[in-house]
Amino acid sequence: MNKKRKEVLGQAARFAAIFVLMLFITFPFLVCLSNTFKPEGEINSLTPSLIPRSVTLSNLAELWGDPQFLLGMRNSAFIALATMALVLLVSLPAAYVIARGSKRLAPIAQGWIVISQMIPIITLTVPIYMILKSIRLTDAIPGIILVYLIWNIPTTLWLLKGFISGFPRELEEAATIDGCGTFDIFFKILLPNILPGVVTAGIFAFIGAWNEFFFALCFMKSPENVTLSMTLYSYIGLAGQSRDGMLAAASLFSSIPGILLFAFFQKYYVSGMTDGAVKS
Amino acid sequence: MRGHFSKAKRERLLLLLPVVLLIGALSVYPVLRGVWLGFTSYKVGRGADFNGLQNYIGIYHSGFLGVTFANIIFMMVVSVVIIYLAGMALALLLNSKLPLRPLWRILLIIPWAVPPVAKVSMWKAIFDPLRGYLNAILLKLGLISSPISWMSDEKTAIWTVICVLVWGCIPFLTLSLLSALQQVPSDIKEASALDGSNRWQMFRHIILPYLSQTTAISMSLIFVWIMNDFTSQFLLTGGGPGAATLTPIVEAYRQGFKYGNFGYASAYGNMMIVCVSFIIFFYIRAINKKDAGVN
Repeated sequence: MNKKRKEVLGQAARFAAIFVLMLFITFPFLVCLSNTFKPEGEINSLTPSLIPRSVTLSNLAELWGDPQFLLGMRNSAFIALATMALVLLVSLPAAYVIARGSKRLAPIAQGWIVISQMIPIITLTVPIYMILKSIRLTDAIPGIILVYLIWNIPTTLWLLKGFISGFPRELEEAATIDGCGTFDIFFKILLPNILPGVVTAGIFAFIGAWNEFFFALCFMKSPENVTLSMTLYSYIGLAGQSRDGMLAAASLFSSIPGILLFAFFQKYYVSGMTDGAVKS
Repeated sequence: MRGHFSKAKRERLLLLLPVVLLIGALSVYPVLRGVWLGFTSYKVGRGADFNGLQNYIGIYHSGFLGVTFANIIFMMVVSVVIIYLAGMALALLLNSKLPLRPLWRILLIIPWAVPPVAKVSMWKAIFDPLRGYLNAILLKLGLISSPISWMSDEKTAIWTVICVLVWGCIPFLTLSLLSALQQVPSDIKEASALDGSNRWQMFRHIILPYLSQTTAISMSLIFVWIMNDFTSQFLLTGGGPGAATLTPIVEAYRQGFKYGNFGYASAYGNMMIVCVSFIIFFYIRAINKKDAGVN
């Protein structure tokens, strides 16, 4: 009886702890969700309530009527898709060679991947700006795609290398004996087997580009090249000018792809990031 | 046989070529160039002439050297401690028998997935002095008697930045600790329980050592992410009030992209590299240990 009571108490304590921690984790999102459906007058109330006293869709209507937001969404979707496609295209073959390649190559590649993740972003920004300028790609969507491609290669290589190393080499060797060439092995045997890993790496590159702010701020100027993050930034600048509801709605919308995709794929990413070092 | 071998080698080089070219031209070269620019007087519309340590002396005399690095180191150390404690607590909780576990795991994703700019906008709605939730709650509980301007008060501003950084990094640490916890072999735990060790002893002597490498790798990544995180540091407080929350990356951005002092901006980058080198050292050591542990 006593033991049972202790168990119940322990369970209650655990539940209380997770509730408090999760309140911290979700609270800003709940505020954003609530402000999205509140009329502007209520957002400005000195005694805010998480549950709107009156629900309105006017913020959403205003947001979807704003050409800048629609353009930002469209540009960011295009930039993110292009980044994802290109980063997979160049990283997949390279990851394969690194995972299966010579003993000399792997440590060099691994060393560079680690170092490049740790380079201060500002060290790269000025020289990349100069390069983009010399090929006339500053303030241009292809230019920013190129930057995001470079920025995402190390993580993508790292993840893919880990997933490929996890696939037994013996199966490939068997196929070699059966007369398959490198390309056959890659497309017909390896790729179908590591597809979840490839999708995960692609999704993280997609969200990375979709969410990115710093490079866009430094490199993009023209209104027609605006990205989603820059649109949000311009709304933050307008805050207090009765656009808070619209800002909340825009923040909510921009978060949806990340939350949905991460919910399904975070498991592979987390193990890939910390285990990638192990499987060499 | 020999011919076959060299064909395979050619194929491999071909597969590697795009990445090598891209990284060489747009990553290795810019990094080297960026380090070099930190020793030049490069400004918008002017050449990059070598000027030795002039930039560093200038930064030192500007008074921003001590402030920016003191701020970022304070932010990193405090954030990392809180992230570790909260992340470990969450990972242990999510690894135990708990109702609604799948729901908590999905909610945990939120801070990680939200775009950085949206993160700041969400937290601004909480810290806002007049309409924010934090003041409203504290006033209602009677803990404060008048609203506090959290983001523009010299004493509290840095804590608002830390709060956003902590919030954003908890999910990654929690999920990596959780995935390591789930790999702790259950027979080790059972053996330890048979030996009569209590929960704390089991955690201290069995689980914690098992998690140490995952912890070291994740924490190094988080350290660097915080150092490189521009958005929260720039958009929440803009470095202010005064220089109370000014960090190297925000000051480097201001020098480079506002005033056109690219040499100065790159000099900040170089000093950050020195800081980060210490972290890389621990990261590589942790990886090598992990390698040795598995093989």
